[in-house]
Amino acid sequence: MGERLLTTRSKIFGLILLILLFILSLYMSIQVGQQQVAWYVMFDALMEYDPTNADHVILYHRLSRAASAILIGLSLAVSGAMLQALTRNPLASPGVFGINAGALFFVVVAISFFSIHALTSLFWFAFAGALLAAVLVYVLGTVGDEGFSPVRVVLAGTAINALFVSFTQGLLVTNEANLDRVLLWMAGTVANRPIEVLLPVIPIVIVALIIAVLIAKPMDLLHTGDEIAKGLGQRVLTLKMLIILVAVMLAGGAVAIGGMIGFVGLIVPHIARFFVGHQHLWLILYCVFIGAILMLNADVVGRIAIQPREIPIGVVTALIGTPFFIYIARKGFKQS
Amino acid sequence: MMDEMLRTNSLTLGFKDRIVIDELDLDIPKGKVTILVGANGCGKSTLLRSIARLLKPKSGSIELDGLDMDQLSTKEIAKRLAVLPQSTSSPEGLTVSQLVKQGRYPHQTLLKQWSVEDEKIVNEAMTSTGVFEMADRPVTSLSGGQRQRVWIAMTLAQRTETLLLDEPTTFLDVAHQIEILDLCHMLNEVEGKTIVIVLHDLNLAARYAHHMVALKNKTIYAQGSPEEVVTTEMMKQVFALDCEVIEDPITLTPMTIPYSKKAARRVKERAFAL
Repeated sequence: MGERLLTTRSKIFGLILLILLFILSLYMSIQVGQQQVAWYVMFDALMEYDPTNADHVILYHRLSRAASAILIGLSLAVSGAMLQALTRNPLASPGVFGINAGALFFVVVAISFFSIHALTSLFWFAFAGALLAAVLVYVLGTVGDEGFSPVRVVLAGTAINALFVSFTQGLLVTNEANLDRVLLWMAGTVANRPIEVLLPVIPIVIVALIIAVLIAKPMDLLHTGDEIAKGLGQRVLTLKMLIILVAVMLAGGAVAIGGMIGFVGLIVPHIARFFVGHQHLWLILYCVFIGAILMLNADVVGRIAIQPREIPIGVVTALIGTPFFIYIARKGFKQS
Repeated sequence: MMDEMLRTNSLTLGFKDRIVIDELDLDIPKGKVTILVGANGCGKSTLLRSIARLLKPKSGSIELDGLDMDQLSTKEIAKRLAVLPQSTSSPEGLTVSQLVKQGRYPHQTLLKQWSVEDEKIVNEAMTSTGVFEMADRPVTSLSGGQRQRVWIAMTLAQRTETLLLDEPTTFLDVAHQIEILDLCHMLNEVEGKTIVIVLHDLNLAARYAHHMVALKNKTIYAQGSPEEVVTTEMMKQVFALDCEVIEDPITLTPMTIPYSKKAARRVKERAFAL
């Protein structure tokens, strides 16, 4: 029901713990792997990077992986929190909203028809696809006499999701040559994503997070219901547009980096809400760190579980996420 | 001073092609309890919602404190007028005090956040509605009557002169209906609030209203004191129901006793017995 951390002091304390856990996870992510690298080499590499030193190169790769994992984790988590607040539906997430599938479809189109392979260009396609899917879902869920209905939004999301997934599969079947390139996007991965690829995403994520923090209080109000919020002088439509914008910026960025990584956007907001309830400022801050921690650790697990091969991170999150999803769905049905 | 703080000027309301309220001129007296009555679908809730700017008029205007509501920002309106819509769903995971606190939203800005003054107003709102003791309980754990009082507390925290309530007693048992209306009465008497209520129960409406407005055919059929409005003729015209109107033995306000098929039989039986 309500949050476990009631006072502001306990919430701050919890946040500090999360930050420590985050630092620990980051360290693990850089340290753990098939190749052992002594811990002091890390500081050497940080101080003076030597591209001819094999250890340094390994560390550089792991650092960029970690950076991808962090960016994707926090983006999907906050995006999911925004969409759950928007629809007042605990099962909403970038995946259910069709954002992931839309982004993926555009990426496949870019690769298949325009032969674009540079990750930095693909990012913009992913972003456009995410936006298109979100707008479609929102419009389909809103048009009609009764206006915006969470149930219809989720139905629309499921339909749009299926549509884009089918389109994507259709393109891949007719053009198998690109299957290899796209397959990892579909499974979701943080491997081989050089830091330069992440650079265009970082400002977008930062801007989105700033907007998210600024609209946190109005979102608390929206939680009481559309009409109540309107009665209290809130411009509900503007707020909802901003929420969608933030969700799309974040999820679009995440898909652009790592492909279809499911469940993070669904489960992390629930974990965060378990601790801090529905106060969105805290919820967003907790989502940022829990999302990053989850992804860093999922990546480490994927890296070491079946050595010498790797499990794509999207598969790891799905393994964690599926039982959780069923749990939330059952809990949700019991309440209503 | 003006006697009307709320006034509609040839207000037309509707959905798509259907007109629900047509060119309505209505004055709502300041500092009084006004109750809107009428048959199902007569547009009384629609009227209340449009006065609360939850519904855009097709044409016409609404004046609040002598100002055109279109000219006021929605936040400015929220400082003068509070509304409790008919369908509220209790938000999950919120405590009573967290919900009541939302009522301070129109008074806050990005720079002016939560203050001691806000805290005091919220506590007062919870005290006068009798929900202070439940401040830390989740709203979803409360009964229907308690929830309704929490919502009213939230609108009180808004500190507005006017309060609009759309069927605040629906889904409540009779004891809680009286409790909510007594609360409205107290807010009017003690704090001098202008209160507008949409209500189904005519006898309760006649008890609590200073001013009653009966709507029919997209416009006002009758308005005035309960004694002026609640008549057998009005009941026939507005509700298509034959009634006796007697004096409420407790409050001396008009009270309607409807005829029904069963009543007709009883009356006959009694006539035979005599």
